[in-house]
Amino acid sequence: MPAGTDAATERRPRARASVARRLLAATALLPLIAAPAAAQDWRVEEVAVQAAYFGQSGRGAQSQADVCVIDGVERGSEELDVYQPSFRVALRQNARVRHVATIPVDIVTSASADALDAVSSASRVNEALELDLRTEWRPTDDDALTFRYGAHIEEYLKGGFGGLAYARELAQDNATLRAGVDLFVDAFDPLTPQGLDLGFTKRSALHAFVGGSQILSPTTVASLGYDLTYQWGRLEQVWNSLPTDRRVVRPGEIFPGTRLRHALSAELRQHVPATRSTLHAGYRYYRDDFGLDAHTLELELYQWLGRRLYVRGGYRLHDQSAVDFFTTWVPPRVHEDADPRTADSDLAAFRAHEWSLRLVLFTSLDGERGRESISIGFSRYDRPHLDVDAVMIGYRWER
Amino acid sequence: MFRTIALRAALCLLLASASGCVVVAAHEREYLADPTMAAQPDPLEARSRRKVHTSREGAGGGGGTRSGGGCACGN
Repeated sequence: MPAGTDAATERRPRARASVARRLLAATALLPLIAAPAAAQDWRVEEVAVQAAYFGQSGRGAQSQADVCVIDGVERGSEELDVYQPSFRVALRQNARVRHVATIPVDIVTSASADALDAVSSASRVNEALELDLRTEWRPTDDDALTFRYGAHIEEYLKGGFGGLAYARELAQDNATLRAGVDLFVDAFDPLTPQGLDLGFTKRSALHAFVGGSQILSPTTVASLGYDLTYQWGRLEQVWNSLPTDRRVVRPGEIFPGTRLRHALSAELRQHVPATRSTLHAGYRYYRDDFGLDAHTLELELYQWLGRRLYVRGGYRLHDQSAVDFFTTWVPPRVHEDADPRTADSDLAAFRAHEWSLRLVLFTSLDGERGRESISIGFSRYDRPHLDVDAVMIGYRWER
Repeated sequence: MFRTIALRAALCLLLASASGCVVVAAHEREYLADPTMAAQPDPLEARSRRKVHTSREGAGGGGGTRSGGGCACGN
């Protein structure tokens, strides 16, 4: 929370957190109500594992690690490696109830995630673990309620989330309408760019969405969605700093206490039987009250090569404006100022390109044994002064 | 801002509903059942790639996923 906040405004987040905790607890209990007391027909429907590696290199003005001047701007290193094993299991409890558990683990070697890493190796390796559970309950053949709940734990942050979504099948399952709401509460104990421990703090996000999909022909599906996210609390990345006079300690970034974010997305999937190809084309428009506008275009072409192997080529273009309070230099006196400011390269204006290639080989397409596949994929994300290379190897079995 | 968003949403809904009266029977959905026609052919891969985007861009979310929260690295 920005400096200078009075006692009344401090009480409001406390009240919100209390409501948030009760909502999370209630959401966690809902699946127990939804599921019949007598467990029957438990069976595994899906098992997937993936090992992923992300190698990021680049420089950003918010980092104070190994600073050098590029294009007249002081930019520190953003180099890091991420090793990410992840798991997913789907269990069928009975004809109407299904559970899905997803567990991603992030092991991050970071140059500047913690301020102290600029001068020591206090957190050269960070580990993060998430448990994402979903229980789908179908009270009728056309209605589905999905309860989502879980937790996220990493070096200095602990969070919980819960939510509820409703889906309705219409017109002989040709159309699906969806709506839902999620609440995320994160508590953390961060360090400032000067290495000061600010003590316990938190941030929350309330997310709501509405959308639907429609079969347009025996080979075409279209979908449309709108997402609204409202965040409050300490939203800034407290380890991010801003370049200033080199004789002065860098100040930290300051965000407004709330953020309202909109995303409108549309997707078209088209299969071409003659060539056994499928095209996914997606577009998303994003806007928030930080002044950030973004357009994202995504194209993926799937091509079967024989009966068991397909290749996917993808391209993604992301174009965003900067937030209103983005800057790459502040005068030393800004230490006394509580106005929003950031030098975070992720919030600058830029255009990013991503290319990806993925091979999926089905080792079984048997109806009895289930569908079993192994996959390998590569992607490269590229934007000014930063790129991320990713390699992913996966195994998946589903009934 | 809201007017622009509402206008775009209305336009998209109009386009989507233009052929909404088509009903494809269950036995005509062979191609729709192709693994490549799934909204997310590989959920774990989609999640990993989405994390790159939400942690390296200021404009996360969309398609039923939140913008921000739940992670230290998100924007």
